[in-house]
Amino acid sequence: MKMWFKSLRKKECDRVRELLSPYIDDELHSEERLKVQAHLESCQSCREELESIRETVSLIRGMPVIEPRRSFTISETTKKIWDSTLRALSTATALVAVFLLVIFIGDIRHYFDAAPLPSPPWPQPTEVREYYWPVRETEFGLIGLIVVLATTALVYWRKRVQKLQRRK
Amino acid sequence: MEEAELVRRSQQGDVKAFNILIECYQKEALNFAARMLGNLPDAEDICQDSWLAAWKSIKRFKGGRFRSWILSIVANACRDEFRRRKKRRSVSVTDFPPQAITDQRSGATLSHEMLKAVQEALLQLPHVQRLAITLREFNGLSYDEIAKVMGCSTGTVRSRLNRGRINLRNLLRDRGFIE
Repeated sequence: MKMWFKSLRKKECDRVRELLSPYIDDELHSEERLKVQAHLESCQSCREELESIRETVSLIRGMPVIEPRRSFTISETTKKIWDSTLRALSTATALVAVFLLVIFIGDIRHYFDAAPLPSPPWPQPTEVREYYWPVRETEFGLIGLIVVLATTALVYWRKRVQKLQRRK
Repeated sequence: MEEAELVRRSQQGDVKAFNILIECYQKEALNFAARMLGNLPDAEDICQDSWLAAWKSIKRFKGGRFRSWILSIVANACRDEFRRRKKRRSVSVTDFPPQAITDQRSGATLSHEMLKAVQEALLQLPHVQRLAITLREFNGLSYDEIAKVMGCSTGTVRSRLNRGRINLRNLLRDRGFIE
């Protein structure tokens, strides 16, 4: 009987100890709060537990507040640099680069090569394969276009940064 | 200007409005990060990155309290930083420069040794318990607000906070700071 009572008491203590933090923070419903209070009045060990948690809480709350050493505000230049012209230039560069990549892959895999010519009755020429359209020339043209666009974007970006810095 | 209006303007690309929000919450975010990481320079870096991330994703903010939203961004950044540090095995407490410390909230003056012990004990807690304790004790959030930041139920917050405090008590008791 005594053992049973002890085990019941322990269970009750465990249940109450789970509620000690919300009890300290006043985050319990009134019914739960009354139950905890009633248990604490009759249980020395749970009262001691409550006191030690309160002491811990007061130690943490005693820690100092830190004052920021600098401001974390965001510079407006970050946003202003990327205006519509710069965005258009970078998008165009990216698009041309993607187009060049597609052409290049096609070229490597010989997608643009002509099919072999049908065998004529007369002696065949040495070169039987020929381009339908000038792939290599297109590739070089696109590379040139990328260089021009990227350089323009870079120069524009630098001028814009300098302009914004002067304004600051 | 009200917070909701500042948020709305920020969502339309108004940096000045967003900077007002930063000025309102930067101290709170920094203190939160500093307690989560136990290191002021890292906390400053995390805060800078978090504010930039918040600016980039402000359009995705769908109402509610801005404070909870920004703290959840800082909390995620702190978790990632802590994981990186664990990989590098460099979880340590750095002394906070005295000029950075302004006041004692509870009036109780803790000795330097005790401050360091409390911070070290905090760092030994599992992330979720440290997060719950930091949000409650340093930021003063209610259980409902903590639940929003942590993305869990209020019941889970209760239990994490309770276990966290008990673990912290045990750690401080082992070092002789609590009887």
